[in-house]
Amino acid sequence: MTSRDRHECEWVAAHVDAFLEEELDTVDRHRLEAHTRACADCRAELEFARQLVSELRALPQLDCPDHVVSAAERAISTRPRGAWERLRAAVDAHLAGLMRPAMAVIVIMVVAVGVFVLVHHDRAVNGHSRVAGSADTNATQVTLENVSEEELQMAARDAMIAFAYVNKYTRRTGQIVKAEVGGRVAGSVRKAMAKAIVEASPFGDDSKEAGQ
Amino acid sequence: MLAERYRDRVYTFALYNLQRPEEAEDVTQDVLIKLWKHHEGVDPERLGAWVMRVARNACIDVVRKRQTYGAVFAREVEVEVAANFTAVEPDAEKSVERLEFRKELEDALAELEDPFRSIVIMREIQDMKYNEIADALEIPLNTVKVYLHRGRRMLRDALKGRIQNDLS
Repeated sequence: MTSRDRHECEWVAAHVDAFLEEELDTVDRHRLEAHTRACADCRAELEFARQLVSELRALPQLDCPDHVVSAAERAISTRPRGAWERLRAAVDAHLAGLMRPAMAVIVIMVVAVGVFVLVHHDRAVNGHSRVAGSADTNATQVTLENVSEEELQMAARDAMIAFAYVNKYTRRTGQIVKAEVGGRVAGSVRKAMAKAIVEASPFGDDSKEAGQ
Repeated sequence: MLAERYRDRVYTFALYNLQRPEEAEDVTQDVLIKLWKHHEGVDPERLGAWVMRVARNACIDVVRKRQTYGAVFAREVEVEVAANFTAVEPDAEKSVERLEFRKELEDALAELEDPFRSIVIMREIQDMKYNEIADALEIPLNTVKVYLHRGRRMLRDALKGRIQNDLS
């Protein structure tokens, strides 16, 4: 085989696929056809290329198993759809890690607010601390029965809103705010509870004098 | 429904690409979920190409995670392809010969590098148009044609090597 023949065979090998796709111009198409008529190796290469394309195109389209689609549909159906639900899901995911300490603070705040409401309501009715065994028949005994469920729910809701703000600012500024604000709130709660307990005591503010 | 329109197309591509049914199923499921999630943001006329792009990227990720590449066609898939094939061929001996050649072809296809493998699958097996393939792979149309020709030539060379090895 001459070098010219070798060159021509290389040219045919490089252009056989374009020929099969009918992408060659007239001149190149005739050049390839003429060479493959004369060269057995290139003729075999052309036939093999044709067979390969035929076999590839005969490979079947495959059916996706139904369980794959069912699994995708299940995954889709458990995902939040609307913007509000996506927001809720994002908030829930974020708050999940803060849940335990958050719940602890919420419980303390709810108790403190509840006690505060009770004491405040009692003082609003009587104008002074309760004294055990008082002969004042007009004194109203303040019990939980005198505080409505609605008032307690409102107090709890206000505590929840307050804590939501804490978390909102926590997300902006990190855990430092949570610790700082939590500490301040806890401090305020402790003071409020201590004050409420003192005021609710039968000894009232005289407890110090009693101890002297 | 979108899932019904694209399920077989994605699965076919993934299975010929990855050759492992479990991986192909995972890829298909992931693509269907992404399709549900994002289809509203895609031009409807380009949705098909978008789906194939997502499928191809998912297959590339799977291949990257594998420890070894170029696994032999899984037995279950051979059975599936053979079932599609032998039902048509009346001559048993010819059937066996063609089936063996087809197995060699599928193995050689699996060993082809991407993007040549993806382009051969999309064009020759799935009959996608050149512009759709170009869109899916985000490459120029002429590059698709060049890569297709190169991929076919690489397949031929690989098959010649395999057939010669089988004969020796």
